[in-house]
Amino acid sequence: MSSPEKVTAQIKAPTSFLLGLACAGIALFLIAALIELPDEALGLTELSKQHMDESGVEHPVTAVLLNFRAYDTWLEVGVLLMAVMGMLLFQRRSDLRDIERMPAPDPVLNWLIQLLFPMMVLVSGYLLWMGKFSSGGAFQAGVVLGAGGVLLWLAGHPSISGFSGRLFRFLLTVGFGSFLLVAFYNVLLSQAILDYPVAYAGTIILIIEAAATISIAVTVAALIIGLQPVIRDRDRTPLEPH
Amino acid sequence: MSQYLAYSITGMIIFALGLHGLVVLSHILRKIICINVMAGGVFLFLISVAARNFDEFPDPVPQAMLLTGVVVALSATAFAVALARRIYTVTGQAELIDEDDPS
Repeated sequence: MSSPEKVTAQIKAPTSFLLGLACAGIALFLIAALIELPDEALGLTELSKQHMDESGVEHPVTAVLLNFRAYDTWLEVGVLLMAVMGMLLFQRRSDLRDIERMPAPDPVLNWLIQLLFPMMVLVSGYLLWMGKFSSGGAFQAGVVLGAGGVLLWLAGHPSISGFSGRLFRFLLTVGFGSFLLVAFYNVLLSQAILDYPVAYAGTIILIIEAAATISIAVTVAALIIGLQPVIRDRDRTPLEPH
Repeated sequence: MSQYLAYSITGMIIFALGLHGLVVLSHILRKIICINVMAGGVFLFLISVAARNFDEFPDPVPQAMLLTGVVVALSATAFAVALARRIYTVTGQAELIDEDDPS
């Protein structure tokens, strides 16, 4: 980003030393607070254990993520969406179609990608499915799939920049939107906003997780690909109508 | 009991190290990295504090917070880098220097 000129702390040594002391003080304070934590508190383990039967899944972390505290997960998918929107806003575009591609891959890399990318898609689907019983779920699956997208792009394939603007935006929002649909449906039936019927909870969670996986994958890939230095610098050109 | 404490204390030390870097270093990219170091400390704390309430399984709530937190930290970092790039294209520099400070 900047030329290899001197990049050092601008703050004078005494100030830096004082700030170091202050930070050490904060660390000691936090550690003291940690040691003071009562031993007998059981947190929310007991509560989650009691309600595992109603969650529709067998793994407590997935139950917390997609059922007990689904609100958190919904809004975190929203945070991802806002990060992508913010990045696109600064670059004054609405999709990644005009991004310059990496040079064509050499044969070895191409061979490796042909080997690795299907494996990544497979691992991603496996992680998504495993979320029901064990460690896994939408976030892990989404990140693996997103990494696959970045890998494809690094090797000169269009990856997510090959999507049309409409498809790109749909894939970005489908995770947030699936939560929104469930919430809307529940509001129509005047139920609690993210309350799933116990009988269908597992299915609903899997559908929402699949949608969230796609959104997270496209978001992560878009954030990484969108920040590459080969993009045309359109920052100084006026906003174009799309 | 003491095992989780060792990890938690390490997490707090990492957090404080990141905080120190955040206030002392002036280059924006370094500040972004420092925020990530701080986040690393918080994540270590969250995952170790989950083991504190062990009853058949560790407390799932801190684990869930950690899981979403990692992905959110990644995207927030990417957004911060986009902001930093914008600052660089507009001002031509990537350091935050207090102009009132004569140092």
